[in-house]
Amino acid sequence: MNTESPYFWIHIVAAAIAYFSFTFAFIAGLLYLYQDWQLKHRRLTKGPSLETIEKIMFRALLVGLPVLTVALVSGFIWLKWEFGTFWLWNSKVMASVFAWVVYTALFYFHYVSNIHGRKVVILCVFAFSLILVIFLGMSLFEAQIRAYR
Amino acid sequence: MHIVNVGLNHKTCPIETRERLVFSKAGQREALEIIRGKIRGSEWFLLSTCNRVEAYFVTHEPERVREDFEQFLSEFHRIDSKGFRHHLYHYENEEAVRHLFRVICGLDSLVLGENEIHGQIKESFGVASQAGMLGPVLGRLFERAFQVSKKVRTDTKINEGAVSIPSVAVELAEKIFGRLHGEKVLVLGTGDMSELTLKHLVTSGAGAILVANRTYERAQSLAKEFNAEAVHFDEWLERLKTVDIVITSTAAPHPVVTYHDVDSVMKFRRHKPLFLIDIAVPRDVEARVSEIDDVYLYNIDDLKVVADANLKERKNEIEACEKVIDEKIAEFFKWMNGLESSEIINRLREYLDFCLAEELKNGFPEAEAQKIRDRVRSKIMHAPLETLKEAAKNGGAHRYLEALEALFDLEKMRR
Repeated sequence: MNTESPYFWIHIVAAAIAYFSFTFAFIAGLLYLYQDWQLKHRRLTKGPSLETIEKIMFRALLVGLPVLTVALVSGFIWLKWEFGTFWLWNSKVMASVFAWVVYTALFYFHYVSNIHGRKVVILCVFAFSLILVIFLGMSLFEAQIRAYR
Repeated sequence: MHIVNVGLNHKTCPIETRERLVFSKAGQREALEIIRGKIRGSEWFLLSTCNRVEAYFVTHEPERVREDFEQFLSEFHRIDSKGFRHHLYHYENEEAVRHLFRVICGLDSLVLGENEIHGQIKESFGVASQAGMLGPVLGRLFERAFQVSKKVRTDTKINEGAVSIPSVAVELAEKIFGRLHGEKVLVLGTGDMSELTLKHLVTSGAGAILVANRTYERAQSLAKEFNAEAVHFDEWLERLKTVDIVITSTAAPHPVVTYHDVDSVMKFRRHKPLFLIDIAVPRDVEARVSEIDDVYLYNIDDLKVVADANLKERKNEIEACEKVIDEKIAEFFKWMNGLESSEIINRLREYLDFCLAEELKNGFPEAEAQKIRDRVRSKIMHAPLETLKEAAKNGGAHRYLEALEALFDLEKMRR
């Protein structure tokens, strides 16, 4: 594997930052849903307000999405260098492209259409869970296929 | 030297009497000057809030203070003392100090654990201090009281969680919107409680206010009071699209705000959270409204449940507060005993100097007389001082000091 290509390193670092941001947004999203549930059930809890949590969540996406874009582009360029193709049917590539599509949609909903509240938060939490499933599920699947061969 | 507290509060005295005994801020200083003449003591402090009127003194005649204070109140307010005599409480020394510490911590307040009393005592402290009414004992006592109050409020949860309907509403609003920064409020139907809640929200940072009422004139008069905009009642639904907090308290027998109303508005609002405070009985907002995403509906009972739960939490903290107070009382009296003993010893020293100087004034040059005086005084005082030191270790110095004071009649050496 050609790890000397600068694109490879850009890809690795950018992907790490992006997924760190998304994990952060995911945790914020869970916290939002918990607080929302508490408020709906007439319980006053400690911790930040809904508005603050929402702000934090979208800030994390604001960092994560552009960095993920960089990670994807550098990743594709590196693939072309290494394997002569822009696309591989593997878990990482699929999860990342899926993440990019969903987070772009979320970004659009919030920053362009100005949509707030529980539904966008659920989308954010759900998207991250799905990315995890795709990533882990596909990795497991690929490992099994390799073992079978 | 005794610390004495005399006063009355919301627990011992009904409002009709209490309100006649209150001192205005301006009157407090004047009152202190008069108290100084009335009550034989060396230090004086007066506290007057809407829930209590009480005074603290340092005196040698504790048994007379209650009567004197009673007479002072009666003369100052021109009210017969028979009307309030039986409402007065009277504490001495440790009990007086405990009372002060409990008061400043909010344990004796109408709203358990409230913070306002700390500021009120601080203000009265400023008045007494400026008027020169505080000496070493009350000065130290109040300084300690402020420390206790701070410690109790940081170490325990006595002041946490809102315990009144309006403050619960504010706390909930802050849970949704964060620190209020100009959130728009719509008041639907005017009433005392909605006004009070609005006041709390505004002081906490809520912004533009809209007032709608079936009688437009009522809406206008409340709007004027809060520098708000009066809205015709048939316009409120349209305006709901832009507000964040709604307080409803109409007298309508049926719900005014329906599920359909709010559901349609939420789409316009792009699901920006909406906080509905329904203070009306019967309720103004359909209960189903709370099923809508991003809508937080609290009726009067919900608010009460939160307030009661918080009050229960506060009550659970009382024991922890009393523990801190006990510690601080012990610390204070340790200091106080030290002060008292050093004062009596100083007086004994002065008394001996006085006697020796009398005897030595003729026949010895001044420098020689001074030397003899110092030596004799040291020799006489050596044994009693050692005994006192030893007794202080076991906390028994007090009776020796009393004996010393009585035997040598040191009272007369007091300046």
